[in-house]
Amino acid sequence: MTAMTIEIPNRERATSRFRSQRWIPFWLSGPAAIFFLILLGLPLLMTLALSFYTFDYTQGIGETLTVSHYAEVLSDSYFHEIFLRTYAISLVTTLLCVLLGAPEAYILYRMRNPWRSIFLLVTLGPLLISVVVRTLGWVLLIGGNGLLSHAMQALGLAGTRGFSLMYTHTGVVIAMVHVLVPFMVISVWASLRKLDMSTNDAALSLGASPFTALRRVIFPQILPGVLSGSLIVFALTASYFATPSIIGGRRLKVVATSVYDEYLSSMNWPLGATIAVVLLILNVIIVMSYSRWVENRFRRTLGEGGA
Amino acid sequence: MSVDSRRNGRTALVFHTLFVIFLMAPLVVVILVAFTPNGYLSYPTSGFSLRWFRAILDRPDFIEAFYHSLNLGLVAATLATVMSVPAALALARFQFVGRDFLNGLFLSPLMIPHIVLGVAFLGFFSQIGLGGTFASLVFAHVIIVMPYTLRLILAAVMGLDRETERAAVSLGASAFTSFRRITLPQMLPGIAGGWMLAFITSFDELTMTVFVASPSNTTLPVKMYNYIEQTVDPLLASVSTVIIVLTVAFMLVLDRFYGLDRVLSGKG
Amino acid sequence: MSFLTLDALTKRYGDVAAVDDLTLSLEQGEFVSLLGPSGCGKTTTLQMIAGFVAPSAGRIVMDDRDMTALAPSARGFGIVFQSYALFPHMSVAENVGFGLEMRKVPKSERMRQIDEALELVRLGHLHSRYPRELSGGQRQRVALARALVIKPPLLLLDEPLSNLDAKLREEMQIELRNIQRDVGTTTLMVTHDQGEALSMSDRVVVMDQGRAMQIDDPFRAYEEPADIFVSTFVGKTNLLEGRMASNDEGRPCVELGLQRLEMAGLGRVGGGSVRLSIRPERLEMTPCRQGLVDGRVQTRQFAGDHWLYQIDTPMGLLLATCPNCGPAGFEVGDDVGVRWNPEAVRLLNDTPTQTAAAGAPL
Ligand SMILES: Nc1ncnc2c1ncn2[C@@H]1O[C@H](COP(=O)(O)OP(=O)(O)O)[C@@H](O)[C@H]1O
Ligand SMILES: [Mg+2]
Repeated sequence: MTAMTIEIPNRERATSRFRSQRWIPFWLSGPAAIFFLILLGLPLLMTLALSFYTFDYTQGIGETLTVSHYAEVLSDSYFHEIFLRTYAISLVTTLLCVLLGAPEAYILYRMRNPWRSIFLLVTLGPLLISVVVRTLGWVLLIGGNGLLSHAMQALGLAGTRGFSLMYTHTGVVIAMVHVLVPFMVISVWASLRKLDMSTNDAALSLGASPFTALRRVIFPQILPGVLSGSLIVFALTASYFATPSIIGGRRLKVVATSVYDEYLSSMNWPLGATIAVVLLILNVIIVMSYSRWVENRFRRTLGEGGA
Repeated sequence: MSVDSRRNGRTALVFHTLFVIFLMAPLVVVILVAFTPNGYLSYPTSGFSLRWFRAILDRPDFIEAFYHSLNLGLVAATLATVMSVPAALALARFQFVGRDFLNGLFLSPLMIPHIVLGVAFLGFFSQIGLGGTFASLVFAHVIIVMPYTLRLILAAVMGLDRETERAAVSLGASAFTSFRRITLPQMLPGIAGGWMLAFITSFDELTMTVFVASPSNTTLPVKMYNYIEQTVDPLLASVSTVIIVLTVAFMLVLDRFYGLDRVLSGKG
Repeated sequence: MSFLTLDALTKRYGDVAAVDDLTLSLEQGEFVSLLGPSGCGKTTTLQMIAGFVAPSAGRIVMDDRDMTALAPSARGFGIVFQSYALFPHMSVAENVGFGLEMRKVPKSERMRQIDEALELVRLGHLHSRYPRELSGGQRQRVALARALVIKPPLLLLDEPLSNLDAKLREEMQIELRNIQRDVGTTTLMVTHDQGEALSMSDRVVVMDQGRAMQIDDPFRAYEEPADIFVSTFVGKTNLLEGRMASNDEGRPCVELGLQRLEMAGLGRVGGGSVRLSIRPERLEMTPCRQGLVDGRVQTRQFAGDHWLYQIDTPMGLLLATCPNCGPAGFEVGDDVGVRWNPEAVRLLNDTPTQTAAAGAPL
């Protein structure tokens, strides 16, 4: 979810000699454009429309239009709690990803080959492994019969009934951090690749301690990477489904799992669509305003718009 | 001796070790549990056994889901690539009305939560009578993987030195020959990297697919998710272990070929 | 006692010695250049002095104080990095003030010194710009101001001008040297550009493969190259082969063309042949049969202030330059003679000798 648009330099305006080429770009991009307009545009519009239809548990989706679903989602404290929980989990997950991912990226950057390549692979590789598999690992670790429970029992910290983080905020956050922290590493890594390490030497030569050099010289230069990584992690967590669903279960509903339940358990599609639309709008607002802020903040110094 | 300012200190290495343990622990646990000789979730403390790997063979539904995922990944990644190559050329090489709109349109699935895409596709495909078909899975997956193929291919086109094409034309090549012999080969790493990232993304996708899949057309992640909802047993661990091994092999190829950090910079 | 002494400084990476047994003394206020081809160990030397790279052997002594084990921040040297290493997220003034801030200089005093340093490099008006908004030459000057504002006892410059285009580079050479004279800071500069080293330095250290081949003032390094490497790397030269002979009084001499040369140091050479060097500008072109050797003009190039000839002679291809005082005297294909003064011929050591390399400071 970084740079939504790739900056494309404007080509010089077509001169008359190239008039005949005017239609080429439309032929080239036409198939994909039609595909996207039909298969992405229509479904989204239909979902938006669906969110305005009435629903009745006995008769299903009605014929008349209403804004009652929006009224419900925006006023009912049940939904407030779900949204608040979702964004609280996102915030904590994002903070932890910054605290873990940014230092790790810098440590990787300072390693030498072959260690650097090996650990880069170890750190980023999990992104390619199915989320279901990674989350299952946490179920096995923190579940009632898991390694953590056994360890706690052996240390006498948990009773005979064992110790489980399943269906807790802590459990969900731990697993989410695990799933998403590679995004932070890769994002900070991209910033580090543009970093001139001799600025660190320069700071040391001017009398800075290694820690001061890190804080005053290195960190500000990788801040854009940290900020864009935060945006990715935050936005993904806010709409994540698999991990909260498996670890948090029905007891800890988040926005994504409540959409799932409205659609596939309650079969109340209009209400589910409403929650989805609200989620989408919030997501877009957050991403857009955050990107704009980051861009303004760094345009003069680092010449990049982080997110 | 003076400190070498470019080395990691001891604290950094301790942090790194803990970080790697944190990343690897769940995967290691899954692999360990897969080898348990017991009939329930446990670590193989009393010896290793392959019984849960043999158990996979008794589950044709898992094997079928695996094949569906594989087919889906291949078809969706290929379709997305085939559409991305000309689209990338149009976006990178031409100034035309609606270019910025198209660029935003093609990349927009990155910003739309998969849960939203899932319900949108569920409504749409059931409305037009394609609900639960393999075709609907393909269409939905092309939409979500095309931003990845397009990004990497676009980067390849824009990083390409146009002087090389002019050189080919000056040496007597036709526009088509120059494209086939000069442009396309230089785009190839981007195309291959994009295809592979698209394939693995499609293969792993759960959130959206949960809505589009049907019992007869399901994918491995969906199958596993539904299974976890019922029960967690060592069969899941052995299936996961197979996935881990295959993914790691795939990842090593991808890294050799294109550089994992470069590919994944396009994934966020 | 000298100000800064490098004592048998050595850095080994595995089996290769990046810097090999380098001994060098700098006087207070002196401007010394490390000159050598890429990869000869100049940067490594500088980084060891700065404290970023730990020496494998040897010592760095300043004012009788052993600095070898000191952390970079405790040395207080001013360094201008090849990439300038400006802090991109700080304004020009913040960059220059960073070292003062680290020294806890109070704000008002800091401002005054920043202004002073920026005045020194004539950038007073660019105070609040960011590095990205500066030209290459301006960045270079900010880096210099940042290094000088802390009043370092020693200024280290790593190829400070190599990122500038040719014209700007020449201007900056003069300006840099003037600033250095004004502030009087002892300076060690790394460069691979022999013109730059010769024109700016009090002394040059010519390095090859980690070793100092000659340490001398620029004139002597050019005029009295210690060996073949120095004579070819510092300026252009003609390498000639002379045959050993003895003159009428039985003293050893060298036969070169029609000339018999008596030279100091011939006693050390055995029989056979010796290597000689003569600079192109020391060759004089004459009409045929009026010189010491005859040849034919093979190529001629115009270089603005001089003409450059390649002359095919029995002694080999000779390079000769003539100052441009009106139209060229000779055409390609002309038969010409070539003449030189016996004093212009230099005897070269085939193998570097330690006596030549250890040349004492003047
Ligand atoms: N960190 C290092 N590891 C291994 N070899 C190095 C390292 N740094 C420099 N070298 C080697 O030491 C030699 C001298 O390098 P350097 O001092 O950078 O040369 P110069 O600045 O004169 O171009 C080179 O051959 C280089 O390859
Ligand atoms: Mg160097």
